[in-house]
Amino acid sequence: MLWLSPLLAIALTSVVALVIFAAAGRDPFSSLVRFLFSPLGDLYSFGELLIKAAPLILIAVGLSVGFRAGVWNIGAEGQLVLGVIFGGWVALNYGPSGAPWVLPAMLLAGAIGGAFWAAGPAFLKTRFNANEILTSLMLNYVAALWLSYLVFGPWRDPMGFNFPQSEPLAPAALFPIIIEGTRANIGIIVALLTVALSWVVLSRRLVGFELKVTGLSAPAARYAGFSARRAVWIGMLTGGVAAGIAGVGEIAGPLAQIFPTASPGYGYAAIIVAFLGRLHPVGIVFSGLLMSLLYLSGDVAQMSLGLPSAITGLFQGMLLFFMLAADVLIRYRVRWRRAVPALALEAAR
Amino acid sequence: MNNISRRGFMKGAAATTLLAGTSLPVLAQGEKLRVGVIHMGAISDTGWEYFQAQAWRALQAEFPDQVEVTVLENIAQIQDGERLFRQLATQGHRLLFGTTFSHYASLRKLAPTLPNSHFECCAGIEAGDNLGVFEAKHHEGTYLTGIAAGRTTKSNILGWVGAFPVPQVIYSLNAFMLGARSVNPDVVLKVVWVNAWVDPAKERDAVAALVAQGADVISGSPNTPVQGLAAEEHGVWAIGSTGDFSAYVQRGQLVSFELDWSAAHIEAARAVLDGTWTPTARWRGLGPGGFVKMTTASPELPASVAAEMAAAEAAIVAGTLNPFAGPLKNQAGVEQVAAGTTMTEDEIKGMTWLVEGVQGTLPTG
Repeated sequence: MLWLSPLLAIALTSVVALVIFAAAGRDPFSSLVRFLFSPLGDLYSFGELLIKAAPLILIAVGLSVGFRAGVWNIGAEGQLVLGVIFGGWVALNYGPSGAPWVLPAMLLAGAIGGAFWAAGPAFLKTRFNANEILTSLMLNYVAALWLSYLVFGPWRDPMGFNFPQSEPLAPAALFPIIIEGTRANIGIIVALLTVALSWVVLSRRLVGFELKVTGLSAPAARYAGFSARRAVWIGMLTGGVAAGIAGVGEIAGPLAQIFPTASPGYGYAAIIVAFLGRLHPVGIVFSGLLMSLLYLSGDVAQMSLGLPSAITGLFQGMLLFFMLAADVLIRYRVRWRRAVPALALEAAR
Repeated sequence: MNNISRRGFMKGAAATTLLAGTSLPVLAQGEKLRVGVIHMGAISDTGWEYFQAQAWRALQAEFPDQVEVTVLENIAQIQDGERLFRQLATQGHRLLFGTTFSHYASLRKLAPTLPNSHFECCAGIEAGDNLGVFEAKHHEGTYLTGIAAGRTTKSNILGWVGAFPVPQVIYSLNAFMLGARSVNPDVVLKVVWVNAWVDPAKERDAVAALVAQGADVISGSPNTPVQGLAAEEHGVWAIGSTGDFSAYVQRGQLVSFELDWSAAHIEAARAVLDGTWTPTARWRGLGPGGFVKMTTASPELPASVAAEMAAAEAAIVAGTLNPFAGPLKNQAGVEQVAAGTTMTEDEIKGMTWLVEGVQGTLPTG
């Protein structure tokens, strides 16, 4: 039954969307159709859907590895920013040389950067049992400040009228476009390869089983001789590597330049994507596409329905809310009964 | 504001169409012009985006039957801006406005690939293929407010809260200083950089620092009433630079000027309707059709000073007064502009040195 809850969540979110459209004085059904399908009108928009979905899928797949083992990496946003910093350093220093190895080196550097940022919380967790949710979350802000420092300082474009932005990246540091006439680049292929790889590892290799068991029952995993520390390291580092690569994808793709605001919050949105996709690589592909569609639809809401773009955040939040609620209600039966006075409980013991 | 009546305009448009039958209008006969505007921030009640919004509101009022405006606000991500400009263009918007310099790079890329629409970018650097730009001569406004500041100060110390040390801010504060010195040669100007366009906390701190150094008239690059309110709390005068904040700063605002982009929007739309649009760079200050407008002054401003400002304004509009006419010296007292010469527009736009009497340095990265 649990596979049903993402679909239930989508259905319930749509119902609320209809109510919102009606309350705003629009024709609810035609508005919903416009909202969901007009971003798919032509090839260019389809490319936009893909380039927004690619980083979300990539990060969500990376996070899902840890989430399966109960390792809560909330720091993908910061790990993405470290990918921007490391990959950006390669791009700014070696991009102008035009060498063909620049792009692979950027991806590698981004992966290292993301893993480096994820290693901190992993170390603190395994060594001091520090809560990785808090440590990884707090490092997001540190990462953002580092990027601001670089873009406001040493990396500022001398021709940019002192605006906080780097020089435009050299063509050798940019992802090639795969669909002519769109912005869709090979970042999409990178994301799909990651999906395939993680599917193989998670469902066909021992380590995938180890992680799953650790997540389901830590004592059982210990009894089977699976190391909890190993699970933490694998979970955190995979998330970091994926987010770092996604960061490189933003600067080598649609941005083509480094800004202090390189990430539009993909690190956080990917958490929703991972759960909406049931932590399964294939599920994540679909939820990533849906999430990307919601981003694009938010602009449609402003452009043709005259509704504020905040509606994107509203729908994204609702999706997660309804899915978590559906999960609870599928797993547990709600029983309504009279409250038992505390004293009676005491007496019963 | 341009006072051509709509009927007169229609006649003119018809005549132009007849005469210029060979031009390439992007609109079919009688088709409504759809205009798209993308705001990076929220429009809100004052500040940069608000004044941008006033421009398309004026555009709607000017052509109520011929123009339809689609507005997108709060498009903070540069990635999104490019997609949305493209989307608006393919949906049939034939004239598109970007509201900030941050749109400039993506519009330069985009405009040549979408020849069926025309693009305009506020604060862009130079006109490009299918891309027009417009920017205000802020220094004409700050020169006049400088006159008021120079006459009003008792400590002979003025303060400037600098956003970023970009040429636009540098020539604004230089002209403020030159305006003040034109009436009071003893004045000095202290500068504090906050390295942000909007950062209320830092702006307040900067005002406090300037007041502590003796400044009693504060100006800067605000776009919000924050600095004025802070100055008011300290009991010193504030200047509404690029915005009239008298609704918020009710006692402490000495004088103010506003940026008015209506003419840019209306002229561009008219040209597209006529089929005569070409990419141009417009850099305008005071005067009819200009982008800089003097607004309210405090009732405490002496009439003699107001008259002095009005005279300087008339001289600037007439072209007999240029704030950047030589001789001009830099902070070290070295002559930068010789007597009898005037800085060219490109020199002003690229200004990176501070005039004599300004105290403070440019932050270096």
